[in-house]
Amino acid sequence: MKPEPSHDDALAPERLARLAERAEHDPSAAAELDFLADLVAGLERTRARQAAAAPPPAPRFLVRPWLPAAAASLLFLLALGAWLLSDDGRATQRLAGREAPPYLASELRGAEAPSGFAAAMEPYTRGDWPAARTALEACLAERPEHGPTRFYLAVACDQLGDLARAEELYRDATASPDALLAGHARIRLAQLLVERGDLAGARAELERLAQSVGELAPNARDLLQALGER
Amino acid sequence: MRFSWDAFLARYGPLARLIARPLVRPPATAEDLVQEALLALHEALAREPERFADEEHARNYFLRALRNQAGKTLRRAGREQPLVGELAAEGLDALELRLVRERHELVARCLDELPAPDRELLTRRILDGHTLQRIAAERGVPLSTLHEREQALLAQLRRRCAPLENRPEAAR
Repeated sequence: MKPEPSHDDALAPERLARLAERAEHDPSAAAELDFLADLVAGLERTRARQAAAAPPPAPRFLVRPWLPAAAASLLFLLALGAWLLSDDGRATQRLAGREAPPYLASELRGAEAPSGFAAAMEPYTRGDWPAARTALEACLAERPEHGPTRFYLAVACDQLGDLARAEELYRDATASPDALLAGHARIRLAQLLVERGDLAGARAELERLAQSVGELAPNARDLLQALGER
Repeated sequence: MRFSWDAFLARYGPLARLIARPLVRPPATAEDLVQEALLALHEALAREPERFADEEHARNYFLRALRNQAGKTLRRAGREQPLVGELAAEGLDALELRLVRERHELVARCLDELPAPDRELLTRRILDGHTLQRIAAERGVPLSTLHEREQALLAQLRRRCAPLENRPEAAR
């Protein structure tokens, strides 16, 4: 049997890396690279669109005629029970969950970062909140104007249950010139206020963020809606 | 140079992730490499803006930084928050971003018009990194036939995408 000829696989990722190298001094390679960049993005878009339009999976079992009625009755009874027994649920869950956010590498490298900031983020990443707090307090003393230090110190205090200190720090961080950091601080401040029972305060913070043009405005509107359910 | 981070990353981010995928060393991810390269570009732009007369210089620097980053041990893996939002706040240019997105939408439409097996061929080859040999074996067609089909499809798409490119060298 005649063997298949070998083909130059121009689409292999390692070939793309070489094409990127060539593009630095070869205009035709640069044009091909731009074409492929658009093609990759277009394919990702097409795939995402197809995934969104995919029909839901077919039911794996036969639905008995009486099953929907029984399920509806059961759901009605459960909902009635939940309504009678509980006055807070969804909103509290959505508003109270405050996981520690990961930090950004760029924050470690910023010229304005305190000298111990990168080291302080190591216990932070491990979830060693007492050590993270001690290290970040030292950073804050060195550079009080460094927004990320204030924000992650607030998170550490929050995780340790020192809500008063966390609130103070989150409030300060909302004044950061970094709009994204300030937005995150405001959302977490609102969540903390909910936990402390200050719903009016939380609503005021979220409304302020929701009215802004920042990219966290939709998140704030979503949380406001959840708050409205209480 | 006017520079839109969002538009730049929308255009070259997917390709960069594709290039980074085979180069990356665990526990780092392709996204880590892309973010590090983006950061390197960000710093270079701030340090020596005169080096970046147009977007092509930025693209070349970005993709070179990506390859260089692959050779280094990354300090940390598992970045979860994208850097782009942070950078975008500094130089957001909504019009540039819109133009790139429109270009991608037009490319996607060209792809939608292809017969499903052709579209699947390109998707598997480019996004999934499947080899022609594997696809040919699965479809029961000769490798050379599939290779010719792929070349024809790429040529067809190149022709259709050429008018979308607004840089002068695209006219060559």
